[in-house]
Amino acid sequence: MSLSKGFLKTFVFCGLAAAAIAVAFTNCGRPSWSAADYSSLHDPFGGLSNIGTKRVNTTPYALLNSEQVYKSMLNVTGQAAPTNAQITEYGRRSGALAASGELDLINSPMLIGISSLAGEVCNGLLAKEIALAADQRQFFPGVNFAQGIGALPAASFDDSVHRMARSFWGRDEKPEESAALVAFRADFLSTLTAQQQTQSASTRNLFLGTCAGMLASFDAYTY
Amino acid sequence: MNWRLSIAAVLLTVQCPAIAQVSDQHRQEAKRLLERLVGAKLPLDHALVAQAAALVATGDRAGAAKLATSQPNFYNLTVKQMALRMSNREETLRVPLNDFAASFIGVTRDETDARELLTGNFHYKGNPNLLTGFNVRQNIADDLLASNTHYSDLDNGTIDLSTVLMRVAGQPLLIDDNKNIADNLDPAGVLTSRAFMAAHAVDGTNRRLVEFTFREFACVSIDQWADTAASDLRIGRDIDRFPGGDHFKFQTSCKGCHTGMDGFRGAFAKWDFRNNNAILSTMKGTGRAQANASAAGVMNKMNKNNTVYPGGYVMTDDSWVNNASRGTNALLFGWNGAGIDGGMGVQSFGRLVANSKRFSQCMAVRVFEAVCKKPLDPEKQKGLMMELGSTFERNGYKLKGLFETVVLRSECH
Repeated sequence: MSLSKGFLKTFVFCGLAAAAIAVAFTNCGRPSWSAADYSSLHDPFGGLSNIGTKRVNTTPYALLNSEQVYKSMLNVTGQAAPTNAQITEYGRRSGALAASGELDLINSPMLIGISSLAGEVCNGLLAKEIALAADQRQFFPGVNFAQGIGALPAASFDDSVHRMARSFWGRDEKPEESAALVAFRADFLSTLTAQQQTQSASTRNLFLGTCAGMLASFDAYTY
Repeated sequence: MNWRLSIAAVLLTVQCPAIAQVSDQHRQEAKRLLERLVGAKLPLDHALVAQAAALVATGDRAGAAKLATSQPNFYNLTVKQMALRMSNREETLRVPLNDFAASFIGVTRDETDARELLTGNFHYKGNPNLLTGFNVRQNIADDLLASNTHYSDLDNGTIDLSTVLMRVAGQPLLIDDNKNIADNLDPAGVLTSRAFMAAHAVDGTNRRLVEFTFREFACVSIDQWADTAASDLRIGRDIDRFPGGDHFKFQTSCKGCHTGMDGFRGAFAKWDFRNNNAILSTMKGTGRAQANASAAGVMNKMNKNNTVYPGGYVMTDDSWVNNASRGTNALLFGWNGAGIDGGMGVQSFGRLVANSKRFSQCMAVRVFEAVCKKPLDPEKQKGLMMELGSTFERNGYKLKGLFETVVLRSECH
């Protein structure tokens, strides 16, 4: 089956955008402490007191190793059992992923491996959610996958990003992250012709790229 | 009426702490605690995180830790990976599940005394009744003893090891070329597992078995317990007393490691790993097993290269002596119980190590690294190591409890 230029262009763009998002959300500039981190929790470092205020350290301190990355991706996307394609992709990529938790093990092959694995995991997530009724979906309840991206409400995109952030990153997305993803959506839209924007594949591809980019970002594979 | 409502609200809050408000901060703390133990990320809004957060909100962090250790990934990831690193020479987790790690998972899950990992007569394997529909090979001779296929099949990522692993009494060994099997006459937990033997009993002189027993279960490398003042009576004939023509070098360097290593290696005198399976020479019906061994069952490799120093020790049985019981080594290991000066065979050697203070402390070190994702320095954090080791002993050497204790320590965060 021959692929149209438009499809190839879109596919390549999704891949590059996913990689860009993965690099963009490396959290390098995030401060260790913030006012939002002050908590009225009891002291998590003492274990006995249930009063007092303690800041929570959010600085990444370790990598997930290969199997931890794989199982984490499945966990945070709500997939109880991996698909054959995911098993195969993990088998191909596990050698490039970290063998232990030292942060200095991060390298380019590892990032590429994580991005590829994230893409396959997101493929599985989308297949699972598309098959569900909208009100039963965990990540894309406001998305009509039968319609093209041109008909996708901005609020639905934002809502899905928010849901993925809380699940993949364990927190709400920051304004700058949300802005970057909105910009990604706009750039993705701009690569499509008017006719392509009406095709349902465009909606799926948008969320594939968004999901993969978020799932392959720093917060998703570090402690 | 208002005062009645107020009292009802107070009573409801006191009696139903679970409905105390759970904030995102509670969720994030609970999520971090859970993830340290289960080894994988969890969604912030996951039901398990909410359950743990409710416990954290009421101050019950210990309850949240227990919740984490009841999850499959605690065994399938955290415990498994900790054990895998200990099971091979490269200390990597990039190996498939093996019998060593399976026993570790089982002992942790079943909350039995962890000392039996060095002394016990048992093994863990997949329960055939729970493996219907999974492609797991289960022939004892072919898939458990002559290869690792049973365990690598279990490790396909879809089987829950915490559920399917079952404890089986005894440790079978192949005793001839006809795949006949008999129970191990000198069982010592994972020390006599196929994986440990495959890693350290291949060729050589079985000194590596001693080195790695202490490396993995006492967290000491050979140079840390070298003692040049101990007796050299047990040092073999294959060790040159005049390396490079210099006897002084032997006295001040080589002897230090070999006094201890050669003293202990007699425990493994009758063991070998050949043709892909572990061999104990004194097993009955030992057509193949007795090859390459003396009439007393001592493997020929234990006395090889005997022309290097003919006056050295000749191994005639599986006796061992403890040449690491003097001075600083006595303090380092904290030997305990009967039989600390010597014994016969691997099981008595395993008992020596398991009953030492150092074993408890080392398990604490291993768990700390697995949970806290950073090393515990046995020298700089000696107090913490000793405290955790003592707690481990007082709680019956239960590994699951040790994980739950460590994750709550402030030093872990």
